[in-house]
Amino acid sequence: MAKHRCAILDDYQNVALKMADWSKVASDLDIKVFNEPLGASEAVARALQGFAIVVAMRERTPFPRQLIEALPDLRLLITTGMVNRALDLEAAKARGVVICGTPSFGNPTTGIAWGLILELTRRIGFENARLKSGALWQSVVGLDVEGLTLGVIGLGKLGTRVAEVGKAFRMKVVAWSQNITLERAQAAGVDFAASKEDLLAASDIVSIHIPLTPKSRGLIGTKELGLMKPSALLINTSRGPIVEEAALLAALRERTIAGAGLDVYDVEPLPLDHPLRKLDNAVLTPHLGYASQQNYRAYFAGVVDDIRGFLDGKPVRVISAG
Amino acid sequence: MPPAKPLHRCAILDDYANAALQMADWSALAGEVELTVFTAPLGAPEEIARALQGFDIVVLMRERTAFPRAVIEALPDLKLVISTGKRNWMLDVAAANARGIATCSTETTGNPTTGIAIALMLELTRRVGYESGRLKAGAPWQSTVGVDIEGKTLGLIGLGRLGAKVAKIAQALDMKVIAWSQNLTAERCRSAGVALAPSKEALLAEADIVSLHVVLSPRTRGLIGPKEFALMKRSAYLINTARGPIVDEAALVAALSERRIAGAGLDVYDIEPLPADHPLRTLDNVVLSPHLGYVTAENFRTCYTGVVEDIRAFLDGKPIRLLQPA
Repeated sequence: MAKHRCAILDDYQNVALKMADWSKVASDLDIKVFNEPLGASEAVARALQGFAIVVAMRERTPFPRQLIEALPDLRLLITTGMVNRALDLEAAKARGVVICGTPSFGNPTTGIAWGLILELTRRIGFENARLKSGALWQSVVGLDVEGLTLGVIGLGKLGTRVAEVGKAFRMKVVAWSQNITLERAQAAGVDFAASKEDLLAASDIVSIHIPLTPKSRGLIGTKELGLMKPSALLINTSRGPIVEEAALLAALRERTIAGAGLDVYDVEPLPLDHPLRKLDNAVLTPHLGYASQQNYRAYFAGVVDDIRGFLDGKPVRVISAG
Repeated sequence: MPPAKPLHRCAILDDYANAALQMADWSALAGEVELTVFTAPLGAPEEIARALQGFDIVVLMRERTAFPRAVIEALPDLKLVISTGKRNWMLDVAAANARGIATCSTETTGNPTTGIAIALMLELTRRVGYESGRLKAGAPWQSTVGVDIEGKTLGLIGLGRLGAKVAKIAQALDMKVIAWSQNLTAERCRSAGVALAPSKEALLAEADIVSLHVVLSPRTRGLIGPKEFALMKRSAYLINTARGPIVDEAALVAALSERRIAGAGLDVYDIEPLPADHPLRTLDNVVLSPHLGYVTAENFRTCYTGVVEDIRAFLDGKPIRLLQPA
């Protein structure tokens, strides 16, 4: 029997085949791993011709209707995780493409949000690199987060956890989003900001924890950055377009805010010539929020199970439209 | 008429970040005190004594430059020694007081070492600083797959003020926390909400990350040596933000070089500043910070504001915050 062609996308660290035991599907598959983004939709469609199975790393490569319709051989599309806003479920259903999800592990974005906060305020990574390259000793005087105000935009699973860590650091925590209520804030043990403007003006560190939706796109722009304290830091581990990137660049250059810690960008991977890469008051990570060994193991073990189930005619963890 | 020469000469030691004069308003001493800032360590006791001849006021950064009897007795002009913080076991208060030298302290702010301990854990496991450095240097995108500390076990050696704070933060990051020290009680553990490990050995065998929060004393010197590294998991990390000699540094370098443990995050060393040719500087599985535990703007403001107040009060004949002999 001919093997099924399977494409694994966006495996930038080239670890997908090591993070799970593929033996129970290996003999049925002809696997190709893509370590780099495939580019625009037309380029993706070209690269994926002939593949019956495609494994997407959550929302890295989008699968809109036109792309799904350009892949006539596609039978099974797996996304890591159980939610993928960049995938057109209706279009897949209409073409008879089965969509499956996978388990995930924990809340690894919390560690990146706090890693960014601590790198901006205490500069461990920066000082470590200096010491390793021969610098004698201290160069920076850090900022203690104890006693400062953390403003979380969004109090879902991640926002709540980032807030909990803030409280353990003895920060004051305030929260706001388009749908946080006073009751929700009280239940999380944090202060409720009556408006976005109030939160921005009160916070020493603002951290964003909401999904990208039409309502949240451009939520932080020139006006919002202008409301922040000149000493304030902005952390974005959610999605790039929630912050207007040009406005953020201007604020960082003009030092109308003190700094930013970013894990997400408008275009990912961040273009090599992107001006953010030149700024000394930005700490940049390459979208590592989801990148943990435990999470990858859960993802790729799930991918293997999904493929086995599909090949056996009993698909598991099917994500259906609507 | 030229201004009168100031009556007092004050040396500010160990201001490595050259921040002392910006961190407080020194104008209360203007005209009376001439300030000299030393931004590099002065070295051996004889060099310290040589560098500080003629100064009647010396400001120490807590436990950086040692001020034993021999140094104090070699400084005949000395009248006032101020140490930042409330205790300084490296300052011989009795010897100073016996020579009629006043010894004063300052307040401190916050618990800044906790931020360094957690930051070292996160840098070892999630590599934010490392990856940011790569992106700034032109690397295209991701290179590491981190280890999530959620669900992992943190073993705290010492559950005092700092240990207990680190425990709370780790719990908020959904770690399991266990603790042990030579005098830790089950009751203290209960009140901090952590599990008491039956022994040091049991803690080392169980923990994914071991973090030290005990003071350096004859009992804790060399607390972690070759035998202890052998008990740790190969995947485990050691964090030391307490004092260098609590860990046997040669054994640590060996454990890291042989990958007996996965890595270490260090803020403290046997010799500080860490010598330029020290082997730790060449290892890829260690994250090093230059003793930043006490280095925050908030803490420096409190310390140096206190220094100015101490000097003013001393000059006015009413010294404050006097340190007592140990």
